[in-house]
Amino acid sequence: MSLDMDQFHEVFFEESFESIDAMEAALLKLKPGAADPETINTIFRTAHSIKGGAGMFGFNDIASFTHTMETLLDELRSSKLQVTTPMCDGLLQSVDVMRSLMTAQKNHQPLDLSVSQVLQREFERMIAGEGQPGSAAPATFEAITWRIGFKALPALLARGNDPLRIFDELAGLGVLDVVADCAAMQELAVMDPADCRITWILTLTSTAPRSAIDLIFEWAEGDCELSIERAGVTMVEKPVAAVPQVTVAQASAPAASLAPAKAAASPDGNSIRVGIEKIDELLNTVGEIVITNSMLGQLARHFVGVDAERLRSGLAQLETHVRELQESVMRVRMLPVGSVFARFPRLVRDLSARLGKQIRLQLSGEQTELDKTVLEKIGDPLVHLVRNSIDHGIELPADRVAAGKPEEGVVHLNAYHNGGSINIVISDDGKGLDSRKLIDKARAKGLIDADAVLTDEQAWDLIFAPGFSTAEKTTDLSGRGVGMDVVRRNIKELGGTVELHSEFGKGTRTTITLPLTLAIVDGQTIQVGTETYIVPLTAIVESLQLKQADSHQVFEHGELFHFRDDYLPIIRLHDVFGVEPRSRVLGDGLLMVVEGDGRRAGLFIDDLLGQQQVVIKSLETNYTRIDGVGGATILGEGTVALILDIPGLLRMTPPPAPLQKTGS
Amino acid sequence: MKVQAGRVGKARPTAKARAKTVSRTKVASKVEAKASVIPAPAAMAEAFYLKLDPSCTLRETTDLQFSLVAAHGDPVVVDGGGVERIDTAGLQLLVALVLEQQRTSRGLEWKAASPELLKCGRRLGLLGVLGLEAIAGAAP
Repeated sequence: MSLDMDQFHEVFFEESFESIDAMEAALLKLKPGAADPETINTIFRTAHSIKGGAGMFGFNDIASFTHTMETLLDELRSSKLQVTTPMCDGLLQSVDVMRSLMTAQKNHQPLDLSVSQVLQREFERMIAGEGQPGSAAPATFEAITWRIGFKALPALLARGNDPLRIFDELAGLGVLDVVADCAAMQELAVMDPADCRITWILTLTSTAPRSAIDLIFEWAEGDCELSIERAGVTMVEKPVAAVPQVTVAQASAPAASLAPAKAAASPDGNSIRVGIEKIDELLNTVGEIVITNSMLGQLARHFVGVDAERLRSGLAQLETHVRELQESVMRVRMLPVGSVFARFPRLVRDLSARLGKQIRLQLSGEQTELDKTVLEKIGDPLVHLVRNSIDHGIELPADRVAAGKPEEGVVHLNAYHNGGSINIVISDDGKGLDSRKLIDKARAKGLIDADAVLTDEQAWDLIFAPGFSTAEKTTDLSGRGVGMDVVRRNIKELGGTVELHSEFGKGTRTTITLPLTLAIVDGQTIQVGTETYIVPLTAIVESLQLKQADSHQVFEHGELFHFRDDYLPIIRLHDVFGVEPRSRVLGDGLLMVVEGDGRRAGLFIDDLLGQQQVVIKSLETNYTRIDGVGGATILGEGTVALILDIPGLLRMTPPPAPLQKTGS
Repeated sequence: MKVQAGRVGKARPTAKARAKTVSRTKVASKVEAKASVIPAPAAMAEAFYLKLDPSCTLRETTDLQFSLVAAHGDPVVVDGGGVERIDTAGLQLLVALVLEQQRTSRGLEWKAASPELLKCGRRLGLLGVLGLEAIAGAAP
């Protein structure tokens, strides 16, 4: 029998990273001196399950570290120790340590134990009662003798619950005496080795609470007959606990390997964990069905007769169902934005402590759902924006009081649906942006002309220019001027936009608008010569018909046309893609005004065909990257149409640039 | 779990190879047994020699059971000196062999037992029934 352990490792790591996140969130609620027992219990349980899993897979260093952490938490749980500030800091630091150990273990890299060993020693010192306020440790302890009856049911071993591991963990709580009864064992030739027929009577003397014993048997629940009785009690001067030993089960034990499969299901059993690639495969297949359905629909139009009508009606019904199926699969990919927000309480806590600021983080709209891919890529830009708010936005308490504000500043993260997109807003009640300062700095850096006149919006926009920083003093948190342009670029790559609004002295609000998904786009099909292209609807401002006389050739700016109070460049798509158009005369075609990257232009096209939702196929994956093209799709009649990347297309043309020199 | 059987000091076939032929190789009375579950001095001269593989866990129980079944019927000498990993399933099979040998009044001797085998046997309270208490007591 051979098992691919990697798949179980994968599940274990995934579960553990989630557990560490949960532990971090709970640790942030831990208040020195007044710890909530339920919070400590939650943290203890998380550490315990990580330790158990790590032990089972033979990740001994992780198991050893979490064991010490668990012991400390157990002392807190039984009120033998009090929560102190260094303890909170150490426990939070251990979250980082566990993350880095897990990451190294996952990537088969050597583990850096330097920090974990220091922390482990620190925890051991805390467990010994050092650093506790007053006489926290009681003079005597109640050592209870427990009589535990344990009988395995047939599935126990196969589910990865080895009594050996369970007893090892029990021995970690105190003094354990084990008596085995083999009377029920079958003959060697007929027995099933996976069916454990030995029963045990265990006697455990420990100062640990009953819940600690229950926790050890937690995973075996349902697979064993268990009785735990209190047999006696004695008072002892020192806690009765065995030398801390880590339960390390066999790394190769297949029984152990099955346990994470059980753990992979959620506690309530109402959800399962599915690899994203499986969902993408499903989505891709559904996309193909949409295309085939559309092809059949077009074919059926030419049929005549009684059955043709029934065929068309059947196909229309099929289309409805396929759309529903597509939407359902899309919804599977959606995750609440709260999973990204969860990292911010820790960030705000650490940074505000470092900068000596008082900051309260407000989160709202955590349940708003967003495509997983978008969600994964939005994390870093959000971190940057929140850091900026903390570092540049919120003032020091004394400055805030002087400005008539409360000492405590507020950073607010909010997410909400806005039509077909999602808005994420990062706002703070800090000092806001000084437009004059921004303009002066841009002038000094040569980003704008000395005599350029900018609106507030244009001034705020300067912050997104490469190499721009407003911080008078650069800190290691922000202010190197390499951030905001990257933030905007990353968000644009996701098909989103970022806008900033600020009020000097009152605060700053940054709004990120993101598409719900990256897999499907609502598009306008257009015709240029014999080719069909798709323009995302979100990029279209309007379409109009122009007379040739309305366009002007301007030196260094190419062909421009007058649109409302502005002159916009004309992009002749047939020139960009080397296609022979129906006509080169402006009046014979249409001009589609599009917007991207804060710029506008008119696309000269032959005709508008219709609007439809298209499944995006990556050009980079299937062919290569082409400037001005965001992807491709397959149309109903089976032909391939390119989806235009409007911001990319605009970058290919000379900017009209209000910030550029217009010539004297 | 692979179990090797054969004459002491000679190359022994792997469990897989042995599983195909199901041959039994008798052992001369040179085996220096450290502990004996069932005293059967005469029978031990023609004992079946079992060398336990480093891993005796649930994963390998099919092989182990096959080897143990093949052994029973004769006096057995068990060498557990090379056991590096063992779990409840592995220990239970060894207990079944010991009980089987007792029931049929055939001898079983331990040639050696590794620290891991002793530690796990003790944790499960099985040292007595396995007849390993003497070795465990003598172990440093």
